[in-house]
Amino acid sequence: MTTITNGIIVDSRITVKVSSSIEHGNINKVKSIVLHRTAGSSATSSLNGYASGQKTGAHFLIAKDGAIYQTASLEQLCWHVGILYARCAVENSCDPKELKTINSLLHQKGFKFSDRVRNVSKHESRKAYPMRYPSNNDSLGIEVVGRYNKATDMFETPTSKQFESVKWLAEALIKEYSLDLNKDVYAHGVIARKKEAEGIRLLQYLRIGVSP
Amino acid sequence: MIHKILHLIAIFILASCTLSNESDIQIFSAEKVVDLTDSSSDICDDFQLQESEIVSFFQLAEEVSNIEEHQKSLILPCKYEGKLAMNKETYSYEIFAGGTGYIYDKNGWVFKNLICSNNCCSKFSTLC
Repeated sequence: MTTITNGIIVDSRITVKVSSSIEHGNINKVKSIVLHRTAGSSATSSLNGYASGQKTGAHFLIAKDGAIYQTASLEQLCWHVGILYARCAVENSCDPKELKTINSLLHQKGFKFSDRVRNVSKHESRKAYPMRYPSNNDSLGIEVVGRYNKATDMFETPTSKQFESVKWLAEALIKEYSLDLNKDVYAHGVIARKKEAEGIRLLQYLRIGVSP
Repeated sequence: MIHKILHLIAIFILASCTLSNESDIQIFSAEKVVDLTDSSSDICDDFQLQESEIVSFFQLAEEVSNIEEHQKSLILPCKYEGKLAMNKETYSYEIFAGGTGYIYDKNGWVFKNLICSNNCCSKFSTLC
């Protein structure tokens, strides 16, 4: 039986390897889950990065053999989301005034590309979820080990053990926080300025129930 | 005599630099690609790289680990991509507006992650 004690999942399927370097204060109410890929080839490289003081990371890490590591408390926020897209712009639902604001931020003269998209992301963070995409303050992150391949424009196909583990973990978190799989679970590449394919296969698997 | 030696040294250094550059990175192709499905793709109008700047990117950008790339990369809807030769091997590459770049091996796996920030960015007019 799975229980949660002080932000830690107590279950034989989870190995606790919390790294304080990736915890950055109390998280607000958890409203969503973001699915990530590490871009590395092993869990060890990610765990070593956390252990050596890396500041960014997510709450969970799933190795190629399906091992699930809890790397941050569920009560702590992690810097895992990055620079957000403007949700209403992506979904063609902005009112004209809001679209004008977003476009003016994107085209600010004298600003670097990175500053312009960062300013849009800051603007987004002032909105309430789900008017915007998940932020670090209200989402949990799950990293799944896997490299990117340009020839396929995809990340490595997760192993069957990884698919099983992400499904079990996501279902446990969805139940714990009363989330909706179809509305509150996201692929990182869809919400933030990362490789578009990041997390897509994982989300498809969770929603369809079979390996895409 | 001293003048001749200095002259020879100067020629040698010049030849070495040129040879070094050409043998390290040679750009075979470069194409600007814009993802028009991205609602912010019109910011890409400002993004222009000359071939010499593409070579400079690979010389000046910092090589980072996969972990660092995952943290620091910024993928905007426009990039230059193509083929290059480096140390007699052929690779494909991408350079995104904002300063994130990749070199891929022949099978498409990441060979190098590159990030151009601060000092590197200052060398380019429209990259960052």
